[in-house]
Amino acid sequence: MRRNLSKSLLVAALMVVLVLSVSGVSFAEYPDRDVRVIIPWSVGGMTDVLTRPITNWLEDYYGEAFVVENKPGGGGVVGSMLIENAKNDGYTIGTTSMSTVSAKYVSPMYPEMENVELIAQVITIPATVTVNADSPWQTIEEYIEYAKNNPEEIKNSNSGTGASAHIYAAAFENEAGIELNHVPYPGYAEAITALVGGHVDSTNIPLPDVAPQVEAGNLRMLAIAADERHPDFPNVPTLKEKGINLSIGNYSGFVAPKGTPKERIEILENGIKKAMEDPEIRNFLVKAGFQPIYKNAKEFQVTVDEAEARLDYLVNELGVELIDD
Amino acid sequence: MELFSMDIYLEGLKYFSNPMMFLFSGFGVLIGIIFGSLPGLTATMTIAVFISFTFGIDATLSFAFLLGLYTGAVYGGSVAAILINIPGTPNAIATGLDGYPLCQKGKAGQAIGIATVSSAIGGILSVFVLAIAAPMVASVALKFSAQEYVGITLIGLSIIAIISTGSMLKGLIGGLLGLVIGVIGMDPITNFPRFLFGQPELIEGVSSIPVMIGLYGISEMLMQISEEEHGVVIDQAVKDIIPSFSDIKRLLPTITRSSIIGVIIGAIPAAGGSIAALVAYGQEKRFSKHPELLGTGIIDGIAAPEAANNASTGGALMPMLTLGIPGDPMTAVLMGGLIMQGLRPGPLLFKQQMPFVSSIFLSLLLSVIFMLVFGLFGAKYFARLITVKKQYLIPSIMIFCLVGSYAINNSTFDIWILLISGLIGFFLRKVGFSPAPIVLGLILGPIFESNLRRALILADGQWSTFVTRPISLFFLILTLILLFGPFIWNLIKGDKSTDII
Repeated sequence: MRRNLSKSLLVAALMVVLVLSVSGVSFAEYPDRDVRVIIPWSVGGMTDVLTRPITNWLEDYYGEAFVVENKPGGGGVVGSMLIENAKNDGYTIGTTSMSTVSAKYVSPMYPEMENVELIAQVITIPATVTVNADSPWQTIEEYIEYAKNNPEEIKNSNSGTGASAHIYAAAFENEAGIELNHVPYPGYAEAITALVGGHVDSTNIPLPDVAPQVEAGNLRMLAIAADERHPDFPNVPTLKEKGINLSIGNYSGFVAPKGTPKERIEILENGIKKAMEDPEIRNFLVKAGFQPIYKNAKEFQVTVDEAEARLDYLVNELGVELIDD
Repeated sequence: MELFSMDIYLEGLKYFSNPMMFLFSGFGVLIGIIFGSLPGLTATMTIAVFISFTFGIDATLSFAFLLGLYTGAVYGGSVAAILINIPGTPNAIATGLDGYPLCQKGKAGQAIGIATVSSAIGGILSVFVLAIAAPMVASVALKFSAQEYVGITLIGLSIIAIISTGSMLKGLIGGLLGLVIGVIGMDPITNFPRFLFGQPELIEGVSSIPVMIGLYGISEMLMQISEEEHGVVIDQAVKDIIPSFSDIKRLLPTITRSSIIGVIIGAIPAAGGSIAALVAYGQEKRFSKHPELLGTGIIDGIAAPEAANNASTGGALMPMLTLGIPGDPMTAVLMGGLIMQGLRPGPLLFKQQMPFVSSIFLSLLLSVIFMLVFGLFGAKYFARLITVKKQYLIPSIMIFCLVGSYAINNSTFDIWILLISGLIGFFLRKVGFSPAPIVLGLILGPIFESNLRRALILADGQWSTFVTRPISLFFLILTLILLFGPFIWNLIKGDKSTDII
């Protein structure tokens, strides 16, 4: 009997050890090993550029490696689905942007925001109304007046029919009550080149991408589609100030697979908050043209919900057909 | 222009007191050559893979390395084209036209030597143009709108007629086949899906790299397997690697002309090295004293595209540095690297970061020199590579083709594309088609189509826009000369021997 008891105790102890080691439950504080960070877009792309400095900061902060993996493909679909299907132990996280939301209108296979836990939003990127510096329109009022008197005459370059800049343009047309002549280009760079070269009249491409040309005096930003003015361009009004109720653009933030333990999400949420408070990170992001903005998981949810509602309206009410950027 | 005093270049020179600059540059070139010469590993991919290693290091050092990769990879693509008739990168398609026949004659060493020297001259020339005239050239490139792209792609397409060895009719049929394959995927303007056959992978079109490797690589390997004599290895005379002075002197007009073409086409956003090399080759056919020999393996046919595609590297950097607009996919990745370093490519870079900008010029120059040295020293070993017995060589190349095609998008679908195009290529070769026109049609078709339609949107549907814009008109006339020039010339001379078939 006694022998049996000690034997079963031994077995039980062994079981506990086994279960603990297999399930990876650890009593050390999270994170205690490498964290994978999946970026569903390519090296050197927007999301990549803004994510790496933050993950580098987190590495120093937690003393664990944050291994960035770029998984581009299908306009972010491939990487986003990898994040969804990764193990939800907090050791795989990833990034998201508005493309993740728009994918369902574009791709036969697509990620769903409800399959991930939001961690924190780190930047916002407002759409703009930008014209060539030689353009006759000095203010947004003049631009809209001309557009109203000459429907479908202003050539507005975008990054592809149904791609982000076209979405912004369609929303802008709708809110401002104007009609533009949309000229699709393969991407932001080509669409901006066409505007700088004077081949088109305007664009709604977001601020970071037009900012260098605005600073150099080649382009003029008439307005931004944000809630408040951008610190680097205090003289550029928001559309809301001018009575056009439009705040639209891209965003980027961190997500984790659905079911990742809440306390781990909170740990990361906190770390990212601290990273975003570091003036060095802030300066880097501002210098790269982004508008740094820390929003915790709850506030981030509002951003994502708004984006979903906006896209739903554009697709189902206005009949815009979306594509990837 | 007061920006360009000598002091500014000397400022960049100070970075080179650090011996690591030389190490990074040389290392970059070496890796670039190796990756570029492997079929399927394009220059763009090479840079994209290695760029993440440079994030922690100083900006000047990382750019010495990245520009080394860039130069090396563009050059390395030609080595594979010459030795095994598989262009390592699309930039090297035109190089293989004469490079491979020359190699078949047992003169691989000479072919690589000429390729190396022409590349180096083209590269050096482009560095100087970049340093002196970047803002000017970039502002000319801005004048190019959709109408002008239509013109320049038309020139590229008309080269199909020129490069088709043997039957011109078969060349044109091949080009058409390429254009048709290029139509697959989403319509570039309205997003209407075309010929997807239920395959979501085809949404973004048939990717051109697996098709290229399949048509060239797999079909070539199948050809060699199906040949009767297996043990044949062409003896390679590994001499005359360093071209003679008289050769270089004779080729100098070709190289200069091609370099200028390379710089200009490289600077035009979205055109890039592959078109530059093809246009240069086409021009060679026009200016050459013995155009009928082109395609049979003469050094002129190697010098022209090689000078052009390496000159396009400096060209592509111009709009990237001065306007913040990448000239080709490779510079797009490089631009990401700059932003990562906290530097903002664009109009302000020259004003605010001139020492760094001049270090870029010097790094590029340094990498061209490294390329020259490695190329000439390495030619011997490269040439020996293909004297490996076929039963070892063919499977190894097959594996590289498979891995390379998979690696582009991490997609097994691309492997199917590779194998199918390999099989098609094999049968087409058997009946006398060459792969170049098909690949050309596939690469240029989508650029042509989207710009044609964009141009018409911009011009409110007026076709006259193509002749009322001077640069566009110039390209159209050039296309006509290129297409009909030889016929008219022969008509004038009363030579009736020219037959289209």
